[in-house]
Amino acid sequence: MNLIDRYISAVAQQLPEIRRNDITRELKANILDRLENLALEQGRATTAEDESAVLRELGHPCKVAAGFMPPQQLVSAEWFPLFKQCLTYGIIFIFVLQLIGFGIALTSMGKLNIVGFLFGFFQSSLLMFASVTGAFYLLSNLPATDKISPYSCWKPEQLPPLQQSWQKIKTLDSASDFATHVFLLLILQRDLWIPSESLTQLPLQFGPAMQPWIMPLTIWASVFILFNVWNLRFSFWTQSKLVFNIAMNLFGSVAAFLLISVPDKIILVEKAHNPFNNATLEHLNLWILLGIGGFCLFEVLRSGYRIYLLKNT
Amino acid sequence: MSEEQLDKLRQELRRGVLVLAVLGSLKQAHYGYSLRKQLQDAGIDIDEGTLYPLIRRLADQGLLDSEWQQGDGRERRYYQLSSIGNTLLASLTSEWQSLNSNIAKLLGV
Repeated sequence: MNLIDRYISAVAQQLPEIRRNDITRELKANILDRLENLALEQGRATTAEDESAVLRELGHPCKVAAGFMPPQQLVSAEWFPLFKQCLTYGIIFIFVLQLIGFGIALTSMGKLNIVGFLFGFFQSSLLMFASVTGAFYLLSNLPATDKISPYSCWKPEQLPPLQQSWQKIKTLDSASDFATHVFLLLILQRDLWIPSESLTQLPLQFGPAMQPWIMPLTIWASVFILFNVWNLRFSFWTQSKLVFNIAMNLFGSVAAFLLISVPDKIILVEKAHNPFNNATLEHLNLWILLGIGGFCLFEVLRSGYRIYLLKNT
Repeated sequence: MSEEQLDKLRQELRRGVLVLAVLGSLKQAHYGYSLRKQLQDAGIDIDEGTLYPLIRRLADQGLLDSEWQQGDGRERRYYQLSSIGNTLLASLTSEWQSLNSNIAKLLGV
């Protein structure tokens, strides 16, 4: 088998059977024409080196075969921005789900399964990536008659009124806030989802002084979750949203600072293997509440400053 | 501007024009290699990896007729403009002339 036949065979392997013979027959004729012309120019018969040089100039068999095929993309340029957006939302959604699962296992059974969390996140992310890519591959390669565009229904009036770059709320920020508040809600209302026999076995319990706080904090966390969902859907700051954010964070900040003075918020149920004692727990609570209160206060001040910026630009 | 940037822009500029050049050349029948020679002689250098798939694509669109012929002891596939290709070439030629004169005004040449 000479070089040309080997080359033609390699190209043929990359072509669909229905077009294989037709294309390779013509390609071979073109290569022979080229060699014939080379022989005329050089005044001698072509050698194996000449054949090799001509074939190398023509290109790798895969590249040559690809040239004869209609262009096919995994995700077309038109769909790509939406594809990236879906992957981002997907990865955040999976992270939040895994985090909530991790939190539930930790609070209900005291299981700190970090490897399980990472493995679950990795496995679900791969599945999500494959599913999203598959869906966008189908959308990108629809027959010309069935083509749909992701941008066919839009109006300039629907575009967000962004005057400044900070007005765009990052998806990651909304999602992490959402996960935090869901987690807080699950802890506050654990009576609802942990069986009563398991509840009494938990190493940490809310103290009696904490009971009047549970309902207001539950309402606060629930409203914040709705606000986070709203921000995921309409991801930009407006003046009214900033005012609402101030009100919510002011409540959070005041509650956190007031809770510092509440005694025995969380009680440690004595267990032989427990590394904590109530004094350590109080100390830990103090710093956590100071951190939460301080962060909420920072959010209040930042939102206030942003309102000022919006009014003065 | 780097040589690489210039090369990329030159390729972009030539891409659309190549179809016109190929259609124009195929008023007479040509096989792949003779068409490439004709384009080269006219100062349009196009590599085989681009030209041969382009001819087939134009033929698939019905703009070219093709026929296998025996010559010099070998077979060759000859291409020539079809009637649809002829009509399209006339439209593209007038579009090219209009574009050319408008751009020449903008470039001041």
